[in-house]
Amino acid sequence: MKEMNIQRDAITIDPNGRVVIKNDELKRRVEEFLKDPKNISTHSADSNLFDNCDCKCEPK
Amino acid sequence: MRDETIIRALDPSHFQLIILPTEQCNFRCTYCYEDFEIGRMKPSVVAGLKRLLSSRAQSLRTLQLSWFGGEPLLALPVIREVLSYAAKLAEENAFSMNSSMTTNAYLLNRETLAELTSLGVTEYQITLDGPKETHDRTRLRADGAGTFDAVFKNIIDAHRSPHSFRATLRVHYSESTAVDVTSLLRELSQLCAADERFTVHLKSIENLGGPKGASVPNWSAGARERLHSNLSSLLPSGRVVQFDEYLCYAAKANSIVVRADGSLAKCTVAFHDPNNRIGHITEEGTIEIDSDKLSFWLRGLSTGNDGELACPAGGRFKSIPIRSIQ
Repeated sequence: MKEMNIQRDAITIDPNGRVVIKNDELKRRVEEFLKDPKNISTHSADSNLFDNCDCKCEPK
Repeated sequence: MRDETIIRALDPSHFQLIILPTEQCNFRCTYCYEDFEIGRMKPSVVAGLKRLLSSRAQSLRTLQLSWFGGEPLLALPVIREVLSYAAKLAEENAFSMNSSMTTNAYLLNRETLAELTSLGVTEYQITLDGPKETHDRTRLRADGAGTFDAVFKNIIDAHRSPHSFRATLRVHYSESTAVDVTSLLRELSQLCAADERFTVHLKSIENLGGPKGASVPNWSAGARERLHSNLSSLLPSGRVVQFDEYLCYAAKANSIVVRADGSLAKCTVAFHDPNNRIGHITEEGTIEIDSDKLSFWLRGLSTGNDGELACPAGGRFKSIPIRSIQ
């Protein structure tokens, strides 16, 4: 995404917690990617806490 | 980082809620960063959560509910209520839901595991600090008693159960505990070889700052990597969690932390930082967000900077002390 020069406030969330993308090109790319069902089927597996490097009781 | 990874973090049809049903804990680990000041989630917050899920149900394709704390199992009724409600929404609106839990596993007995897996909690992260003698020096019950025997019994009972789940056993190690940890890993190696549901995440203990930081000896990245490699070799191939490309949930636009008092956060570590208090959920089920604070956490999605995506808090909580987010 580095090549797209996206404004920092172009990505936000609405009162229902839904992602809102104000950059038209980024929005188009997201929608295009998500049209492919194979990009959905594996989706939830990559977003759990176990990806986290230090999510719990880390020594400080 | 691949564009696909970033795009998934922007997917409006996916929603991850990391929920703290209580911020109380039955453990007092000697190194824990939490202060346990907030208790169990109030009914008004639970009601707000359920209404929020209802409002999103028709537009969701995937919902991830991740339970965190405190110790989430101290608030099992909250978990039961939210998961039952979400499962019904998932069925009625044809979205897929999965659920995970970070637990100390002290209360994860056979009956509770059976109930949780039936409710859809199929992924668990459980921490061990070594074999019994080592673990019981740091992972203490609130009354000061050791916890290893109860936790390990529950792990073995889970292994003997027929339920469908995945458990990541997070094993902490340092230079001083490496020899002790070796004996635990030999045991876990047998468990992982016999049961594909279990994997191990080796995590070095490091000084991350804070009042207790000085008590943690510093050690070089090279020494850490050598030890990690040696310890990994004790485990079956492919059963050690590796992170090649890491995008933190705090950097994802479709992930929010809901604390027990209804306040919203992005990071589950920097709870004391006011910039991580990004808003709150109302009893009516809407969320009110401070856009400026939110944009800080999401900035990696715009810049594509790997460091900001891996740890938008500014460190990575891995080897760099947490910086104040100003």
